[in-house]
Amino acid sequence: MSMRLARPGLERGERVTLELDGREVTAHRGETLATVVLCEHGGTFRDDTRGHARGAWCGMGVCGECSVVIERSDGTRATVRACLTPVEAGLHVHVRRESGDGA
Amino acid sequence: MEPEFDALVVGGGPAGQAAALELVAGGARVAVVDEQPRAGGQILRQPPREFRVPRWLLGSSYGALKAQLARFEAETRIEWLGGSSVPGVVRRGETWSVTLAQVDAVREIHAPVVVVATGCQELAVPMPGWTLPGVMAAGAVQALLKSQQVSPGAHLAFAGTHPLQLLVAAQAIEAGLDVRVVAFAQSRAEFAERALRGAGALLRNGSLWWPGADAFATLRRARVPVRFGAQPVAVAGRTRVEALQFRDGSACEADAVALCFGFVPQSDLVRQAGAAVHRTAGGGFAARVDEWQRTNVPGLYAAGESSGVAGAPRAMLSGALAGIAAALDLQRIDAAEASRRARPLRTALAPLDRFSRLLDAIADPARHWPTPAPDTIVCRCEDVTLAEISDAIADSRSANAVKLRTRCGMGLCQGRTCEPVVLRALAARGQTHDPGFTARFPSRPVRIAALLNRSPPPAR
Repeated sequence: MSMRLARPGLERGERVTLELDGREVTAHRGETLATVVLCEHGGTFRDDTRGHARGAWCGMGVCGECSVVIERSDGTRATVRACLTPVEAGLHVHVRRESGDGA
Repeated sequence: MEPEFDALVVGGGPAGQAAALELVAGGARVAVVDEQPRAGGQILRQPPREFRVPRWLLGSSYGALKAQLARFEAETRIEWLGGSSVPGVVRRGETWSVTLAQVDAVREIHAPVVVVATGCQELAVPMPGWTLPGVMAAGAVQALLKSQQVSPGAHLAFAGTHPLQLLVAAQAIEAGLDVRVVAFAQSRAEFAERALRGAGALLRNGSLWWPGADAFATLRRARVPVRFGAQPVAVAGRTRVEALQFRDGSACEADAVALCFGFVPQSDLVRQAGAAVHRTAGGGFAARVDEWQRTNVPGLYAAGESSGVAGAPRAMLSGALAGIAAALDLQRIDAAEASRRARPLRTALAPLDRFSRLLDAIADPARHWPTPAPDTIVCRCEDVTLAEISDAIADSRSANAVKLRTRCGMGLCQGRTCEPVVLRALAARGQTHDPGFTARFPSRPVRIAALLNRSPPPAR
């Protein structure tokens, strides 16, 4: 399973809490939403049109496969590339569901 | 409109840094834009500022690159515009108008010179199961290890034709992960024969191949099997990776798979600007440049791997050449000064070129692409299958026609992932000169609300 590395002496940013598909998860400042989905959602960034679980591919903003929907405290929503988007305390993140009538 | 800058460099990797340093040395006002918050490019993808990572990328091959990055970051005259995408460039009169996009805001900046230093991207390798969670490009796995300090799995299987996978696997072991296999699709004889043919280039470039030898030693110590002639055919799993399967019927259990079949230039902006490109192996396009990294469009330069994938040391040199040429064309330095500065760079280029040709020969994926099943997804954005694409090619025989008929290339990535696959399929049917999908704005996803420059409406 996806995991944060345990290198000797490695220090991450301070802890922040956000919501992933309605579930409270903790992450570290400096982490991206892709890291959160990798570690907290088995690396499943969406369900595709056939209902299959889908992963991210390029890790550098080219392919868009890691795109997720974020919902900010002011109620605005945006589809963003998770690998380029840093975590923010209180952010609500939704993985995309394309097979049914979900988000 | 009065340009804010003399030069805008797109990409903060080795080439972009080098170009900016040369430009600023010539007294030009320079900005460098990158999608990442910190400079470094993919080769030096830095950890977040909030992290502390002791002993980060200690390998000797990173030494010169890290030294340049330190100089770049210390150079206060360079305007650093991290965390912004560049979805488009357009020339208006003597000035480039460059679009910078963030999630909620889009703005234009202007400069008479644009240096495209956007690097390369990994080749997509469709095979059954390649869209499962846990399958990633080897470069993506490497970026996660270098920067975010995270891995897509605890037990990794690597497969492909490119020797980079040896380095990534070794870095995974050093990060405490279990590497199950590093599988090369080409045979040991093929690998050795090509390496031997280039033995001279290898011997003259000890510092270049040594990281590979080092990685081999790390893998041997960790008792990781390095297989040759092991053609991957599918990734098995229901909701995520369970195993990587090979043509000989063998399988390797793993919870993450890294695929490594090589790279193509990221030349979207060059193509969008109407500059000439040439086809590269694997189905990509590299900017056509002169010996000063000038494209055939005035004021547009392409440096580093957007003008041909040849490794970071070469990217650094070509970036510097582009910076010198741009400073010359901006009349910041004279021709004598430009030649003087370029001379040592040109001397250093030749052996790097010999080495990169050797690496290309060793890594050549041409005879080793997996053969996907008809229902394999090729266009990941729009879920278009190989069968749909093959049908469309049989009728229409051009990438644009395939796009119109199947929606392949119309999704979030705008065809960057599937275009090489479509071009390879066209080439297999004799269409070797297809110009690919017409390059259009935006080359990166931009929200319409941001384009309209207003706040997005609240959710229902």
